[in-house]
Amino acid sequence: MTHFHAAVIRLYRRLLPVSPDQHLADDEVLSQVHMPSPIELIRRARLRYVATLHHCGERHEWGLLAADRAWQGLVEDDMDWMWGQIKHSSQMPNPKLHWERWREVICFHRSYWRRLTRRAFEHAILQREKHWRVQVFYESLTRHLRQTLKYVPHECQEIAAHATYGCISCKKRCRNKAGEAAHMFRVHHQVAKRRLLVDDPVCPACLKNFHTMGKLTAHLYYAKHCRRTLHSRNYECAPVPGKGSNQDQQNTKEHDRLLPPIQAEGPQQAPQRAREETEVDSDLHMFLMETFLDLENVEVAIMHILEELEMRPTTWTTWTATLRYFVDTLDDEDAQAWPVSLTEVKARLLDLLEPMRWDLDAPFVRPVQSLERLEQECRDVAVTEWPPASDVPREAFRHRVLLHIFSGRRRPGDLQFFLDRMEGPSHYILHVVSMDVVVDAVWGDAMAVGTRDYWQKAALDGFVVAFLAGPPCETWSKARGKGVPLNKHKKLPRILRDEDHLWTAKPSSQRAYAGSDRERATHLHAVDGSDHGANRRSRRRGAPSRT
Amino acid sequence: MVQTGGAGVVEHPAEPEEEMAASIWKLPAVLALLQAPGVNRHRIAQGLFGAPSAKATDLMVINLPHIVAELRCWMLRKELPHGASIGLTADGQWRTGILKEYPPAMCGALASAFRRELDRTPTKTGSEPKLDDIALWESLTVTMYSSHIGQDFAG
Repeated sequence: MTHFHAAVIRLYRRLLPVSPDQHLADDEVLSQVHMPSPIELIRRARLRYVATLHHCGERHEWGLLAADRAWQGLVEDDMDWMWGQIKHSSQMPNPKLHWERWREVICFHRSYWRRLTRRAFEHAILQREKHWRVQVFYESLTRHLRQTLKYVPHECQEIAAHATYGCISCKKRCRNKAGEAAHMFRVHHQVAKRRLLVDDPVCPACLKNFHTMGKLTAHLYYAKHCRRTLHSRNYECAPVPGKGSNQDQQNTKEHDRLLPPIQAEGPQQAPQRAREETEVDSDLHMFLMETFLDLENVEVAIMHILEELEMRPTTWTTWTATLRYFVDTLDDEDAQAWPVSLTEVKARLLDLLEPMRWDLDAPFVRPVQSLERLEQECRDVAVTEWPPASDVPREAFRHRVLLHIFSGRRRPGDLQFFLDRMEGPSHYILHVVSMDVVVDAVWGDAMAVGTRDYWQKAALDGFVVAFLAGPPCETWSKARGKGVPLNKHKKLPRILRDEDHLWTAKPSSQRAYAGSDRERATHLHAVDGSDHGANRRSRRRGAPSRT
Repeated sequence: MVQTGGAGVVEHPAEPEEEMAASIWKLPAVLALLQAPGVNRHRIAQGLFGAPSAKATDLMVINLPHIVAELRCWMLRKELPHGASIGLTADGQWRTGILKEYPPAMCGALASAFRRELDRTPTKTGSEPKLDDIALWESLTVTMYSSHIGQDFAG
């Protein structure tokens, strides 16, 4: 299941215009492609299969299927899930209690059954998108709140406090050595040293054929003797497609589990003295030696090192190993010609082993906090007494925009009506901008990501200095669910939100969902003004990009 | 706006008294934002500014210290109107439709508060907006009036 999930997400990800090294959470990928999740794909396949079985009529195989309790449990779970998705938008009863009704729909109302399943999956997709958008909004909001109110939430504790990994030239901290290696490969195209030891699935040290590069990599990881032997031979192969490559996957398909590792025979090199495996970079070590060979000024030498490391992609692990090796091998003879003592030089060099010196000491924040945690953080902020904050300097440029969000059509007596009738400002130019889809379909669309980005940037640049927003409130109305319908064929607007479901958890139909979805997006824009994730409508329309 | 020192107003129906009723004023995000410096919440009744029914409304106000004085100054009545906007009008429109438009006196109060704040903000020299941006802002500065009150886009 894990492999299937990963494969589907990878496939979806390819549909998005993002670079391979850009991190996207699974929910973000699913929201952007607007497709069912891997588990939902399996559910859909099972539900379709159930319908196909029913259409086959009375068959003896039903007995076999009934005996398969595990599969039956899965189907029951699928039906329950489907009912959960459509129970507010259809008359279908609970399948656990009224299976006959469901069976009738499956057997005799095929198009309705197809419509129901399509609606269930569409609803699930929209719910996930809603959840993701709200989550992104809360992440953005809490980030701003932490900056403004200067606090650190309980959850933002450092995860890996003991070891430091990262890339010095990018000043990027990684969580572990694997992350460091992945960054060096993706960003700087540096392959791991182990990959330079072999260029086919045969281990040159023990002459075993492992058939795939994946198996050979695992062998070299665990077989220290072979690894040290190959390191001692002091050669480098040209890197070949490794584990996970198309070629290796093909090899895995052809050979894996069909053949055991096969011992090959052939001439072996004469045994050499085994070298210790180190992370020392010979080139970098050479550079350090040359820099300190005719040392005249320690500060100048340190500056040269800093400049070199900015240009030479180096991991923290390599840098610390190389520098430690260099410092350990310095002796009094080297320092004879130096204007400062050896101890002082060593102390200055050891300063460069502090992660803080390279901005690699920033604490890790949990990558994705749950929506519940983020909401709780906001509630905590709301009940905390904050000391009076210092005022933000109030200055503005000559051109100032007052943004009237959701302005609607102009009419006498509106905000702009009064502003236009006031005496013109003396020291600035005021632009009263109406932002509404009835004014401009693109620049007035609060749901379009590009539009939101534009106005947010204008605010951060200091041009939008004021705003008035009255987000649509129809799905919040307390009149919903009250009164009596005017005629028996027309239902009253049903309640879409309550205190426990403020972001709407039970829309009655796709149309109502779209309404609440628009309101949600526009509320987020009014409250925060930041990007809350793409939406289909804005992408279809081609959100503007104006920088 | 909180971070840049700008001014702003978010308007939405007042928080209902019913315990389970939904309201944006119950959102944790809004509750947290109200703690930010310069952010306040004020309750007004649009009926006091000329709306046909009381229409209790809450305002989230950012960096507009004079808004309360301006609202008081522009108020048209001291008593809340007793009318109710329920159901359909004779021509089949929802009676609440007219309430989507702010009463002119309320707009006047907001305009005065904004203008007062903008006037007392000193001008700094520095970057000028691009000509394209100015052209866009001018194109979105609407000068033609309409009497149409349409449905909002929540459907």
